[in-house]
Amino acid sequence: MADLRVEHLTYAYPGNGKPVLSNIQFTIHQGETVLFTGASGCGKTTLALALAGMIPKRIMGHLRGSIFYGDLCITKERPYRIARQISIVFQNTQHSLFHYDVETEIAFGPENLGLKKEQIAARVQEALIAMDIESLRKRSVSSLSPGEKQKVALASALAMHCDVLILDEPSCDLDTVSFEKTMKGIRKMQQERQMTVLIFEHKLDQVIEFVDRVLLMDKGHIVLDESVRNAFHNETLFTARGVLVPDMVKLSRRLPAVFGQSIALSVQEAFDALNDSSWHRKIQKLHTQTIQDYRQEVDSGYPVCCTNQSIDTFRHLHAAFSEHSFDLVAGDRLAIIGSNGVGKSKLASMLAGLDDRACESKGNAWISQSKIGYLPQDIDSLFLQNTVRDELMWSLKQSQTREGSEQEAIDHMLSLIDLAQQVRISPHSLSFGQRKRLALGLVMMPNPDVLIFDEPLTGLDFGHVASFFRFLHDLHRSRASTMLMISHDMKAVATYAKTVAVLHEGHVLVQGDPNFVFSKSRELQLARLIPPPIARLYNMLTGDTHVKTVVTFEALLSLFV
Amino acid sequence: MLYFFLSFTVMFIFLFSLVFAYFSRQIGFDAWQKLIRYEEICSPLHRLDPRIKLLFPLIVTVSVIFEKGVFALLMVLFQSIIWSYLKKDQRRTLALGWFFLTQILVMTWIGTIIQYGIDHVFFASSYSIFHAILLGFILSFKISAITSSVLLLWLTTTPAEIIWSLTRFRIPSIFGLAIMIVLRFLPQLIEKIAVLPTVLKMRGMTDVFPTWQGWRSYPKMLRAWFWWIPVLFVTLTTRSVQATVQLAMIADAHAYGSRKTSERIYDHAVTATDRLVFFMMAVILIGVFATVFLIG
Repeated sequence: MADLRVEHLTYAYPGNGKPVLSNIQFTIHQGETVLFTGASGCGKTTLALALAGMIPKRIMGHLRGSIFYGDLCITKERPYRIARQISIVFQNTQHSLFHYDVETEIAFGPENLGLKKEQIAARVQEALIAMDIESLRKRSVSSLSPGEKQKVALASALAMHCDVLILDEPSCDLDTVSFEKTMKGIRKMQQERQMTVLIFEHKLDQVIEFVDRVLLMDKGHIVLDESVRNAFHNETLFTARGVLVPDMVKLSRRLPAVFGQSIALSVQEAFDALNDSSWHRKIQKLHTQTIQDYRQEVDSGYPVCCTNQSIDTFRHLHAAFSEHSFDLVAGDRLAIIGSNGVGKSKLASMLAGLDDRACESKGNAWISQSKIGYLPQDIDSLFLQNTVRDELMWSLKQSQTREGSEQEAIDHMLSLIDLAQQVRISPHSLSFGQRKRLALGLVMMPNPDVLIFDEPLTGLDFGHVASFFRFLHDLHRSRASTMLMISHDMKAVATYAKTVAVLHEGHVLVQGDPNFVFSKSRELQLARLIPPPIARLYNMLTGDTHVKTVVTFEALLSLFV
Repeated sequence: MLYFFLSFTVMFIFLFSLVFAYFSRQIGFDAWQKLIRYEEICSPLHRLDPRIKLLFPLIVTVSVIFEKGVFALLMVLFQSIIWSYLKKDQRRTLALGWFFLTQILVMTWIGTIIQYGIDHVFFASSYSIFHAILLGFILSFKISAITSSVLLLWLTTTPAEIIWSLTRFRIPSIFGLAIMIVLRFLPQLIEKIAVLPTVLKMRGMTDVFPTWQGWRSYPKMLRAWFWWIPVLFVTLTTRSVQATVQLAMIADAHAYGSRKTSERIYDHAVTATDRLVFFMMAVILIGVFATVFLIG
């Protein structure tokens, strides 16, 4: 066990003179949990790969400076020797599994450490329990959902009992309950073994309560290095770089009369501070009034659940999800949420006409008419051309409702997805967040009537999420387009979706507007979901009388002020 | 040179791609994935010592290179029996049949061009066209015997079994990783080709594969294919290379090669069947070499 030292690290990818990392310098002490955050494309993944020894041995490029783990020089040592001490869970876990089945995948690391067979089996068992995936032990890796694959990748890293664990966007494919369990499991192991944990993430709400220190990155530089309690004094430092400050932190800073100089990192901490205060009583009083108003609205026909004007497309759902169904109103923004492995991605591909068993003939016809735009979870398969511009041009040529010149359309899309500087670069050379933005651009380029997005927000920072939804909003106003989104990002779902449907065991458990759905704690718990932090806090403050909750920070704050 | 260029480009890269696409559309592109994926069934072949399965393609390759063609023909027949025994999926059988038919046609054509063309143009040889076709035919059987043995390895052996075999053979991890990467490269490429129609659908294209009814769109479709084939080939190959590099990174991240000897959670106890099969393989190998070097 030792400290991790980065000394004047500068790195540029081959064929690209501009450094991705510029003169980075910091020390991480043994046993710390450190969060590296920043906008997509700021160099987080590159730094994670360098710390794991993959750069420059596996990914060539121009590197200056050094990284030391104790006396071990990571920049000079072979990656497989470094892996005995430092373990990494890659960002894209979809293609990060080596073996055929889950058990041998998790055993692979301990085997290579030269352990005895009994020790290997014990490590596998421990990792399976830590990640709550014992039921997957004998399953083939190819049959797993993306979230399940991520759990296996995490279990595989944990089984190595390394000194340093690097997690690159761990919340990417995991549902909220699984992510919280994972972080708690890692924290437990960390306390037992004094393990150092480095988390590279730009969605802070769920992760912030588990970290000791925050490093903010911008264009390859470290612009802030502070303990977690002191990191958010200047909120604009984060928001200007596309990183959203956690809701509980924002709330603490807006209510100094309650929180004083301290900040709350978790919903529980915020609740403890607010509990039995005059603010708490105010909220409860307002909530009682809200319930009465709401019941009157329901009695007079307020549409809690959408049932009319369904698009024909979605009648096909009845075949696969026969017991229950949901309707998508034309012009709606519907979010489907559910735990890992519940069948959300399968549903999306069925709706897009890509699953022959469900709706083969009509699906094809709609797509050929550019009526449905579908963004799959595995975006890398979408790219077929050599440059970003060629990709967009290819998609543009499929558009049948093109307005203006090709150049104008491409320039507009490039500015929207913020890739104007990368126009001549190969899609595969972009960062994950940039690739995600390009994939969104490709789907939206032909201006489809119905947009189906499978996890569109993974890899996107707050700035790009906001501009993505702004574009959808404009598209919706001009063409009354309809959107169906599958996402684990409860905060984005609460903010941007008009309707939310909770999927559980092949049927819709509850459906309605976000304020209604996120008040249904019992149903959400059954579906292994956790509401966004603001809704959780509101639900805790108002007790068990849930028919409607508050889901956005602004709405909650307006109740206090 | 023009003769070679036209024969090769027009006949194979262009025409065969179209025929390949047409047939693939009929059986479904994902049928190709069935040829390169491990199939979890309980057959005697699956239960066989993985070392034997790993050695088998090697022995077949070495043997068919040295002998004149009879062994290759016998190997194709022998492996056909194994394939028919493993016949579980009709689409896989169709894909397999089409794969070998195409391979035999292509390799016969190439063999004929090389034998007949080169000999006549450069050496003014008196090879008859019949003789050249025969040689092309033998070449096709040799290649088929090798590819079939590799397909059988993919179908019946998991990565864990291959790594166990490499550990038992005491092959250094650097070579072990190289073998794993070689064994994974082609499946990666085929996986990417197999999902291509779905990707094209997602990208808004459905009229890229020929149908008899849609003959009016043939010129447009042919033009598109002419441009796409090289672009798609480069893209898919690049992505397969990237995927295999990533595979090396994953192996590194799991410390593969950090210790010289290690125990594996997968283990295989040698059985009487294993010994018998190993003995038969040794006899075959010795028999082939004895035939080649002693009899001539």
